[in-house]
Amino acid sequence: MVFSNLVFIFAFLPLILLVYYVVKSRFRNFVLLLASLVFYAWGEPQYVFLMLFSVLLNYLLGLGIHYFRNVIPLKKVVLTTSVLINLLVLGYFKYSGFLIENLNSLFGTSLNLRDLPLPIGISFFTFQAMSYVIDVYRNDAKVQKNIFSLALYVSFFPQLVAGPIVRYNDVEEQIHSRTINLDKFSTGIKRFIMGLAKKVLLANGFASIADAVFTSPAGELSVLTAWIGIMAYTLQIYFDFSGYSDMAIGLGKMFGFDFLENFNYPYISRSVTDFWRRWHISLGSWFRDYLYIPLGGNRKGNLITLRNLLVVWTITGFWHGASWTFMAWGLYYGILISLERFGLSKYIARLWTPLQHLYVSFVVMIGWVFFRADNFSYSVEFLQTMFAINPSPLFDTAFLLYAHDNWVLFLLGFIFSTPVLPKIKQLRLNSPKPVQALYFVSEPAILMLMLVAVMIYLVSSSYNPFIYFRF
Amino acid sequence: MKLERLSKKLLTISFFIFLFCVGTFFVLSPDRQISAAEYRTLEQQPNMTVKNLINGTYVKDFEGYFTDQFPGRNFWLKKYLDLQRLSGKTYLNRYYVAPDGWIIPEPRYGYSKELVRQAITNLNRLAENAAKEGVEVFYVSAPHRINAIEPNFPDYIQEGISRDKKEYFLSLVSKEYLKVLDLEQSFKAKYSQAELKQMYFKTDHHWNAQGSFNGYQEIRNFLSSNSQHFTDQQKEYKTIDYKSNLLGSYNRHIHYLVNLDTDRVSQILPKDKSFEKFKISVNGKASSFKDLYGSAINKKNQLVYAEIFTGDLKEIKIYNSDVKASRLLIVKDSFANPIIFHIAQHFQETVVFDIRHNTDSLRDFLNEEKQFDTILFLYNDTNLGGPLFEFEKAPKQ
Repeated sequence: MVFSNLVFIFAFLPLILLVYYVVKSRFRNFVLLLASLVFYAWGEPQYVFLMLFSVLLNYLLGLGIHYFRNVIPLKKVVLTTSVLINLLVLGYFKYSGFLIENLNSLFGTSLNLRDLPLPIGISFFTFQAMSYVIDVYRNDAKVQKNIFSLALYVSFFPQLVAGPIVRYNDVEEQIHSRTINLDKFSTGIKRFIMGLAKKVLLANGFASIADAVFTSPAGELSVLTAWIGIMAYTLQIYFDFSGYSDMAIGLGKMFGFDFLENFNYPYISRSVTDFWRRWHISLGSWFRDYLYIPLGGNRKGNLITLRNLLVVWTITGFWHGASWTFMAWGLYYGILISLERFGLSKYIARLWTPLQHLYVSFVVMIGWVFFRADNFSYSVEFLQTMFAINPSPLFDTAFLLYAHDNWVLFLLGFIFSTPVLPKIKQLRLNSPKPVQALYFVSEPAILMLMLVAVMIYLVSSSYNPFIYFRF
Repeated sequence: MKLERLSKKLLTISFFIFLFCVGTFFVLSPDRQISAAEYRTLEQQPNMTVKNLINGTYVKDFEGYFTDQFPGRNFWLKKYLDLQRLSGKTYLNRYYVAPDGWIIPEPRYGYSKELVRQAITNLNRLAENAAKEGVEVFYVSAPHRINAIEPNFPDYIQEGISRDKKEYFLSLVSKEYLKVLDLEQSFKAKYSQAELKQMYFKTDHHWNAQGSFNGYQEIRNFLSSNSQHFTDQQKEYKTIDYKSNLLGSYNRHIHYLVNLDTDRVSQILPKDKSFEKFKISVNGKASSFKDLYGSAINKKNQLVYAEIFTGDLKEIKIYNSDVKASRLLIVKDSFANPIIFHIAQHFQETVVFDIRHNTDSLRDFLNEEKQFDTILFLYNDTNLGGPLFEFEKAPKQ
């Protein structure tokens, strides 16, 4: 099940909200746990058992680490076992096909593995479960002796299938004691509707353009068609993913949970380093805390720092998908961040601000070409078309049609990828009372209209892909 | 601030009311069986079994059911098209609505040559075998609207390849065994674009009574020159206009956004009502011209194409005792429906066969029936492959 789905919005969510607020508070976690298992099983009936296995495994290993808390070698063995098993499970379902394909290619073998469907959200819930065990090991979190509470943490439906990756110690207290009031609930509704609108009204529109462009042979596109395709994808992936995060955060608030922000207007960044502090924040900080720092971070000299950056970013790319293009995409950012770290950032900081934005937009869009394309040769050919290196016309009727039909969508996309709404909120705080009154009266009306528009689009559209679904 | 608090309460209450109202409507509303606008049956509540829960089919079926039975679905679908129009989209559900009311489908830019070659192979083989048995075979390519009329697209829309596909198809036809009448060529030689526009429905993909009658006249001239079994009949015809509105096929896809009185409903029939004297059977049962042709006229205010002329039926037999012994088989699609009687009047016995609606293959049918003198294929020039050209095996039901 996805959030931008009529069954979720008009059947699942009202039912769960009703039951949640009707039952006594001591049963609420059970309600959420049951709802989360149903939510997951709705899309993946068989793989709900895989998720439960992950919960059980990490619960027992967490207990093991706590049991051996004073016996460091054994404590390390349990941790290592936990990390290895978690990664093995993830590796089996997500990367074994890639491994087999490359072994066959390298050694001329013909090993065969039956097609394994990728369980939804496996990258997210595996990383969450690992973070629990590692936090217990580091004494950053208390061991959870209630398996149902741990199961709720791992499987909680708002963030189960596409993040944000929630750290156990961020929600440890909230599992047992959380505030629910009108402020939080209404903020949750607001975030949920904004997220839905980003996903359904914006991201899906960009998706249909990007998919049409990227399914065409790259050499047959005109220059401007290629550019409009990558701009569409750039906006699609942002609104899709940040929209989903907004929905997850909003839903969390409706049940009393506060999750950390996952996006902070990444497209206004002035450097690639800044971009990755604003994009998929929970993933970046996960890899920083659980891989980069344990490898030594930047504390062991420039060469080790460089190594760590390249390794972490390549693995970050690989986390996104089992293919060389994803790894190349990750390595691409590793190189850029390293360059910035070792001197480039000083030059960038001296540039005129619009040029800084242009630099980041440029490198990010090039990165998205590799991220979106199916293979390297397509990526290269696409870039050649973008930069008019191959003999493509400047524009064609396809570009004219896209531009004619979607200029409003692109305008909205550009506007809402900047912090215009926080600016409006700031202005509102400083404006006279009648203006503030107008704001408070119109805000619920506008939000409900957005919800109705989302509903109209969902009723009519069967085209509703989630990009980060299969990570 | 009080107003801020009130705003939050308002939002929370509206949200809950909206969600619960829609959910309640869904539960309380009876399930609809069909969508008239979409011309299809709607998903019904799926049965829940352990097997289909585990393999995930129940979930998919339930989501399809929930979407199909969503309260006010048709209303929301129309609103969606309104939003698309407001945002300046060129195509609405893959159709362009020109300022003059013509609904034009989005052009296609590719086709499978393999499918076309397969169709031609089957057609040529059938014609060759028929010729060996002394049966004359004719192929009439009736012009679909997208080929007959220059579309009134905006400048930024590239023309599609449907004419290229038709030219490719006709170039492969065996001239030795098959005589071909390309009605698009005939029409364009005779009529201007303005005249051609009078021959087609604006909101439907078919030709109208005038277009089909003009097509019949070309077919009559063609058969008169080429068929040994054709008996010419000179008649006077009259145009009968009706007040009913057309529920055009293209208009249906855009939820009837274009006014229903855009197209005229009419028939062109002999003044002497000679068609009513024919002996007719439909799918083996006796019938009459009045029951078969324009059966819903004067009974309904809104008609689909099939209700103005004949529908797509498995088999129609027409016997005209006024002409010499001759047996015609018409293998057709819906473009033939307005003129099957016009053509049949020139032969003593006519069988009208629609491959799509038969359980037997054309080959089996030919083996069972007594010999035909003439076989006439009458397809529109976008039907250039697929089941209509599979003569050896029965269509999938």
